Amino acid sequence: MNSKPARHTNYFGQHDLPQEQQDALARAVRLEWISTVIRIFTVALIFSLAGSSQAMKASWIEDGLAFIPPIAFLIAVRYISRRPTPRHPYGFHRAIGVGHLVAAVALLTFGLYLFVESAMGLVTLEHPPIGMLEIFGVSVWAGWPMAVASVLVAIPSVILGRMKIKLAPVLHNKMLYADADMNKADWMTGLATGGGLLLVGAGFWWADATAAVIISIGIIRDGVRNLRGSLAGLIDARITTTDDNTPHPLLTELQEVLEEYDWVAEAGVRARDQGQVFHTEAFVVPRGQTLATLDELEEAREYCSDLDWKLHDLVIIPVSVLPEGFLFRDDDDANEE
Amino acid sequence: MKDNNTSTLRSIGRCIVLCGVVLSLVGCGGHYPADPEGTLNRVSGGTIRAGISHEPPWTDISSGENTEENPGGIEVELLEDYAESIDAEVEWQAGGEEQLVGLLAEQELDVVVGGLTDKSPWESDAAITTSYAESKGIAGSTDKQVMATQMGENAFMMSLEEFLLNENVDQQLPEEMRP
Repeated sequence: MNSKPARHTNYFGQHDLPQEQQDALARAVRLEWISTVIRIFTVALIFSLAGSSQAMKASWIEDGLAFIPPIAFLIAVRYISRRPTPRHPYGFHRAIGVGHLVAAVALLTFGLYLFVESAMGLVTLEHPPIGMLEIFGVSVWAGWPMAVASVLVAIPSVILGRMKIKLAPVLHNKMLYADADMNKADWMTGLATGGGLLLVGAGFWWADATAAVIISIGIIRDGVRNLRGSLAGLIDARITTTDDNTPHPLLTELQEVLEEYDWVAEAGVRARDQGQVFHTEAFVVPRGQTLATLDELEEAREYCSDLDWKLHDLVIIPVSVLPEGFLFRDDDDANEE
Repeated sequence: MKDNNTSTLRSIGRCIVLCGVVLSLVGCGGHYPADPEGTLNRVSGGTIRAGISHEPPWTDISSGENTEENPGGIEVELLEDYAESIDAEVEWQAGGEEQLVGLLAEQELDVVVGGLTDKSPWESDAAITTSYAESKGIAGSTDKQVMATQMGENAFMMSLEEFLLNENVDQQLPEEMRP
């Protein structure tokens, strides 16, 4: 029990992060803090305007749930910087995957809630009441400040989202990517809410709920995509790029690098995504069926794991034939998924 | 990134068009906010159908000269003054709160009074106006007085709210009722 967890930020599991990733991580943490603080103000603003109106309630519940991804990120980041311990020999990298799952479930829950709530309003022909509001002694129709506020609160979100989405691929952090992607889409939510309110003012009682239904469909889609992405990571799907679109290029790169060694006849690689870093197993068949020397193996292992900071947790396993049960060719997976 | 930007621009363009449509609708609609069912236009120069639930001193249908057809009380006077301001008559219908709110939801009534406060549980069945006065409630709490109107009849609700706020009811309350 002498392995006390280290918690300074430039430490990352067993290895130091390269300078670029350290800077990106520090920046991401700062941006998520700013997001959280700004959220506090926007929730307070929306809450104070909501008054007795049903229409704005969904809006501040949304803002409340939007606390979850940044806070989950900040908590997860505290874990991944810990050094592996005897009880956690792989380190704490999966904390990112868990945070991603939590954020995805929050998103999906909110999307479904908003959908049911607004669809019910449409079905039961609920006409949203929006009356008068007194702000600093001036009476105005509450729809005006609500519409302005719903657009205004989207602005910082969009800016922060654009900043975060540039950091996500650098850190290979899918959770940050998901959060940024949602933030970027916030301007649509803001404009739809504002437009819906103004149309309600023009007598189209269904406009607000319709806007909410459209928004909720987008949120549900985000939620499902993120849920799939986070679950894929947690059940050890093949590693992919940050946006989940393509297999990660490091898989083929690693195989090619290994096969370039003259003592290697054949190589195969499988890797799983632990959150930001990979856990990689490389199988090699030595040429002429003679075992490679320990020096050769160690040199290759070190070289490979230095190819990319995500490959630090890498093992090389010498075998007589590549184990078919563990490895799959690229063309095998076309019929899966 | 480039595709992203063009689609963003296109969406912003669409929103500007939408805003234009909204504004032009506002321009020819008469009232903004408007009534989906046209309550304000109907009651102006006509009859306001008002539900009343007995809650002295706000509403009173039984003591002294007050009757169900000809009630008295602070809110009754307020509503009758409002009706006068839009050249309308008030037709009273007495009943219990739940029944009256039900009629409001069925669009059989335009407004319900009965010493309602902003803590009213009828929020999902009726549009609760902004509070027009504060008074001392049970056990010394401060109550915010409101009326209830049909859901979504925003022009009528605004017009009533505007009138009530201009009346400065707070200052006319007897000393012992002030918070």
